[in-house]
Amino acid sequence: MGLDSLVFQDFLVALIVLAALGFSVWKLMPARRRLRVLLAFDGWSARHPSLARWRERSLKPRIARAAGVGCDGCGANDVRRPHRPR
Amino acid sequence: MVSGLVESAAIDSGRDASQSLVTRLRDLGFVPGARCEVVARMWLGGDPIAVRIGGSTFALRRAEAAAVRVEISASHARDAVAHAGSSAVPA
Amino acid sequence: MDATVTPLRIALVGVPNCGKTALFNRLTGSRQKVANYPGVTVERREGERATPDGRGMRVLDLPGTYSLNPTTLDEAITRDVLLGRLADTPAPQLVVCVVDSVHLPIGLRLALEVKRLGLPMVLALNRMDVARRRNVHIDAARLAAELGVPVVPTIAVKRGGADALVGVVEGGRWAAPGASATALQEHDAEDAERVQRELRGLLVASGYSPPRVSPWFGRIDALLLHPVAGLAILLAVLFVMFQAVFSWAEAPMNWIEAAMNSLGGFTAAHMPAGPLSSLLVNGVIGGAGSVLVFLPQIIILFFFILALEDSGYLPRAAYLLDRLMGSVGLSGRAFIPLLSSHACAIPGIMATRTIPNWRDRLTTIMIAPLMTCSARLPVYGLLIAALVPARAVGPFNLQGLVLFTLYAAGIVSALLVAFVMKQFTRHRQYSPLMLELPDFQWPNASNLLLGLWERVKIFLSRVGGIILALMVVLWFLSSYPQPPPGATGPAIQYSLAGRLGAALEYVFAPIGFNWQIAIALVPGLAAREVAVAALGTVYAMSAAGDDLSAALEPVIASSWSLATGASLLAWYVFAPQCLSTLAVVKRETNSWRYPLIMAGYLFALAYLASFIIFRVVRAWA
Repeated sequence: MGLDSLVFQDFLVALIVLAALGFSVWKLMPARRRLRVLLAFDGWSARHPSLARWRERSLKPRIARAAGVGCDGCGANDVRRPHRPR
Repeated sequence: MVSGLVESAAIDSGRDASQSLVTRLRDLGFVPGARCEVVARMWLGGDPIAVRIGGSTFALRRAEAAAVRVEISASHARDAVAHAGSSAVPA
Repeated sequence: MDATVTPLRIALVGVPNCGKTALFNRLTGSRQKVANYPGVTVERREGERATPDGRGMRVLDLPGTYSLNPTTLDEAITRDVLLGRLADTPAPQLVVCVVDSVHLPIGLRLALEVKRLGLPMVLALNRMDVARRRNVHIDAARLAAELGVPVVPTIAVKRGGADALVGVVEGGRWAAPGASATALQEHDAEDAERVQRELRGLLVASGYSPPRVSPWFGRIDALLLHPVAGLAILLAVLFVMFQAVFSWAEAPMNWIEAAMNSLGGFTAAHMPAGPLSSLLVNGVIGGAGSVLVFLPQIIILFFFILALEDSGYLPRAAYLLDRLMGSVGLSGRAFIPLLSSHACAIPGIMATRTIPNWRDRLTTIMIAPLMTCSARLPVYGLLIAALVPARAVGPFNLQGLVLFTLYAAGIVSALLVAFVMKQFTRHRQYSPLMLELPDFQWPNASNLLLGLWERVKIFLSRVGGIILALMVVLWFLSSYPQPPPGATGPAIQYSLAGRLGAALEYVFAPIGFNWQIAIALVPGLAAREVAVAALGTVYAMSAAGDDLSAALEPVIASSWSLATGASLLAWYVFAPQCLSTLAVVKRETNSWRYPLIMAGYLFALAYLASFIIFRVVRAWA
């Protein structure tokens, strides 16, 4: 089984497309709904501590910030180091 | 450029300058005895003007500047920058 | 819980342009959090700093205000936080009044107002280095003695410039200035008089004298603010900006395009033919790669925007344009939000919070998307490069001229829309200008580079993120279902996307869009530059035979009519191809009504403009 195999290629492509689809949907969702989805998974992630840590430390705060500031789609609102400190 | 001492910043009846505008002008430093200087004026008689006061420079519209009465200092006897009640008020 | 264990709550207060945010950055470094005050859309900037005693401090950067008598929402928040009126935000335990030493009176006056609140206070004399250079000498010790609070010099822009302040705060050598927190009374004339007297006394005691105005800056300002010369200079600056965006970017763009082409060719040659190869070459490289090419233009554009912002020129431009803006019913303060919208409408729309009047603010929000945002640049860049010859017109470059015209079209249409909106408001409430023109400073090189780097990161993460993902999905929709055996024509026409495009073509035919454009506009709703990537993917897949690595530009140049290109340009001047913007408008206006109205009127204008342009260009060309 190598890249020559069409079946393998189809499998890989399907994987990539599904990942891209999921990612697009996720990114285009309004930030608050994303937060709600994350919170819905709270129970599930309790059984996977390492995943939970990543969620708490980086994913949740990032979305909470996006929810406060505007929309994650633009990224221009990621004001962590304002370049205009007057 | 015209410079002078602020005489007063007050509401002139008959205009729609609100108390909050006058208060804000005072907060920016337009108080009696302060030295001010007009550093630039736009066309049509000056709307807006750039005024230097207390070390800072502000852009004021005619209607805002009109609330400030200024006593022109002797060395710059040019037309007055703003008189309470005399200038035409923009719509 | 023991009070000494929780972090110390500090708030930074000061007038705008005093360097408060620089000090905040100095104190908290990268450990900042930006959110919102509950119920309102004012940014809440909070950071943390560790202290050797382990307690730590939590620093809140309050919006700049000239007085505790607010005129805008921003300022009201500052007052409310200090009074402890906001439910979620307890009053600070210590207030650091940041004062620009060069402009001591205005900052000190605010400090006196804060002092009367009775909260523990420390005064930070910022920009002492600049003050010294401008011949302003302040006796900090004397000031502290007269004022009754610790006074600490700081230089926020230098490393270690806040150490003294941190030392004083950690040392705990501050205490409530005596009076208990009183309710804030409205300013009355007597009250103001008292504050002024106290202020005068303090200024005399500290030895403050107004800063020496450098004759050079005085002359430059006279020129920049001159009614005729100033406007001419403004126009020239903008012109140079747009010319540079094309001419400076040309070489690096060609380089990136060549790299993409060779990458595509390499991939196609070294991979067995099949869906994976097609995905990588057409979807990824052809798609996302098409947008990547525009990175140099984005960098140059932002270089100018950031430099202008940092130098202090922008409020002067607002001054020059105030009359013009007033004639269409816009507040003079609308200039800076509208200018920010040239980078991206979202921060521009958020910046409208500094506009006190609701009607003015709404008008500004509604026209902000008409400002040519940086995401339109790949679209404009592609179409102009493909369809406009790189000729010289006098000293100018024709392509740069067209770009300038597009930017101007955005601005002019915004002014017209504002004018129309003005007709619908019955009572014209006066909206003040009262804008501070800050001192000039040379744009700080490290700030500039930092800002540019941020922009590059944002662009790359957009390309590598949502754009890439959408292109993969688009590739999929353009590949399946596969054409039946014996079918002629490019495979894409039989796919889902192809059929959707064919259907949409009916809608867009009157304005000259072919089905490829029609398809590209759908994912293009996510963000404007996605359309370029989508066109890249769609055309890559429409390519016959092994012509898999053909670049987008020549394909468009050879297959589109000038009228179609012009029509698409006109479409992009108006169309709200950015869901994020609409989402932000919903947030800022707290209703669905306004984003829907916005989307409606913008799409209508886009269709109308495209229709007219298409017919006119077709008849004329």
